[in-house]
Amino acid sequence: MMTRFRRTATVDEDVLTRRLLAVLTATSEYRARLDEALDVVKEVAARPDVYLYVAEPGNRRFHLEHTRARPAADPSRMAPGPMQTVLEGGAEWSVPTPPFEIARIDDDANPRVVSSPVGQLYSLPLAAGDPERPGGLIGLVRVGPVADQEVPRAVVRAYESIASALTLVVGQARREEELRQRLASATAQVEASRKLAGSAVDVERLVALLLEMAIAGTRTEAGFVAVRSESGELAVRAATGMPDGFAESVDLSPESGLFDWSAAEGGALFLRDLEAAERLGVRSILAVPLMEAGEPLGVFALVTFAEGADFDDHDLSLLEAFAEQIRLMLYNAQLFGSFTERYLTTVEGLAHALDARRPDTLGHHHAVSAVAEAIAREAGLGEPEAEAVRVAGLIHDVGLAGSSEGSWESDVEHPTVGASLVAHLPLHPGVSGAVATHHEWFDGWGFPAGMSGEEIPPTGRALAVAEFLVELASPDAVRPGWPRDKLAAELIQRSGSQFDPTVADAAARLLAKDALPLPAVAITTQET
Amino acid sequence: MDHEISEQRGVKVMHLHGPIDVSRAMELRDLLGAQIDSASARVLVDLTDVSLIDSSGIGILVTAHRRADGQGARFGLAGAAGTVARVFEMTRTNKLLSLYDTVEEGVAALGD
Repeated sequence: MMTRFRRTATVDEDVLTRRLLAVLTATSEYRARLDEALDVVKEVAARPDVYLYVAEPGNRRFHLEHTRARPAADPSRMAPGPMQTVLEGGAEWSVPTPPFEIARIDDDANPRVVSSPVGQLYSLPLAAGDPERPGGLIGLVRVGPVADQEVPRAVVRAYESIASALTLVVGQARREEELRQRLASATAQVEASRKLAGSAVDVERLVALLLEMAIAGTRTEAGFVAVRSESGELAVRAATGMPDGFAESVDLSPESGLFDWSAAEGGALFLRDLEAAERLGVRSILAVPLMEAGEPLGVFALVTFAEGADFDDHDLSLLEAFAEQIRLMLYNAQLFGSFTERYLTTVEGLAHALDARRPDTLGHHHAVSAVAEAIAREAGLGEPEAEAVRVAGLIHDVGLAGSSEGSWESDVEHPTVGASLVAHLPLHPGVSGAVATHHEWFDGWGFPAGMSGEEIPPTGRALAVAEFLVELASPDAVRPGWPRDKLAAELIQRSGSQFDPTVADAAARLLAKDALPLPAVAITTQET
Repeated sequence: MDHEISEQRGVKVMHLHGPIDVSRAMELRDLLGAQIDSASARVLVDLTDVSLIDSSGIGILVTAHRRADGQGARFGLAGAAGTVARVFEMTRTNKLLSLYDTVEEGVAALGD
């Protein structure tokens, strides 16, 4: 038997509208906001259960976003439809299930009565503007259960008086929730990228992502992030919506640039060059300093160009939240970057010390590094890979440290040991990859893993050729260094077996032009 | 920009209205420049009815503050609340400027 709920005699719509608008400031918790908003709908319709449906992208369907219904234990909560088991108050209850998805029809734009598994409900539109236009109908509230065949005029009138505020609250709560989720996802990406690659490119990509989210969240039009170098100069690292050429042409110098900003004044930041802002067509600019331990890291600025697009309190809260995320990201990148640099210097020092143990290997790592980088570029590897090859060259045999010289184990395992020393660093993966594979052969006959062909990273294939050339070009106790023509012949012979033919060809081209920085060797074989 | 100037105990109180953004900052610069004209100038800007201030408006206020300092004049701000007060904090300029809660406090501090 359906319990009858008596409609309240009078509903003060102004009070309810104010209550609705207060939801956005009372709490920032998404579900709590929806609870409050749907409670107001309950009062307007004088019914106990409310279901909020929101439009999915494409506006063809709605999905159930939130339910504000009687407790599961309420015996009056019965309906003809299927039941769902829910956990509430530590117990399991069977309650009627509203549909999770409904297809949109034209009638959804108007108040109407619908049948559902949870009984008959008033279906009321949540319209931001014209509900007939795309994006106009952002959702539906369905409230009930009801016995009426159509929505009473008094309910329609009362609902209409709060509909704008309700739409605003639901729309804003959803936008902020989406931003929060994207922010959490971006933060997770920052963490992940710091562990995996951690390159400057990643940091810039994520700063740009946060900037775009901040612009969307504050409904401003443009913005930029400028980062301070060690010399104190600011440079734009991400910009969205700014005039063409802004990043390259804007003067951000501490003495005369767009902003006045100095650590000596506690990092206080304000616009200095009003005329420059006017020339850019800026209507309003809000720039906040990004500080860490009293030291300036950078500037985060949001910009509007249109009349009336001012910042409000809500925008400031979002701006603060995004500024904090960007600050953290820059700080972490700086901290981890300097740690990596110091650690790498230590590993390079170790490799250099290994070279110094024998006169004929002195400078070996530096030579391999220079030759490998040149070959990588000639073979068409991109800038990040070529740089990874250069770094790998500086440390590729460091795994030999600590092993007894000449032992079989140290020979076989040194690529793996060396790679493990740098694998945890936020470097390009090609660095540890090259160290680990520089003794692999293209045909699978190398060591330590017996990898072949494309299994071996391109950086490893380039490093392998470089080490081979440097070793043979360098004289040792029992043989003189090989001349260029002999190196080239040997290289071609081993192409396809030991070496990737593409890389071997690239090295041969450089040899022919004498463009490889090999240890000084004779150009041609001297007949004796 | 909309403003009125009154004098209280030897302090010129400039009461501003509406937002202070790039387009209005130019005008504010001229207004303040005309008031801070000698070592004896005492100028208090009343921000009670300012709805928003951006980095350009703050730039003008800091410049006025420095100019007054350089001339031996006195310059202060009163009535910054809500969004306006938050902008001062977020830009860390609240420590740089002389901010007073009310016009009365500002006049008492700047007056002879």
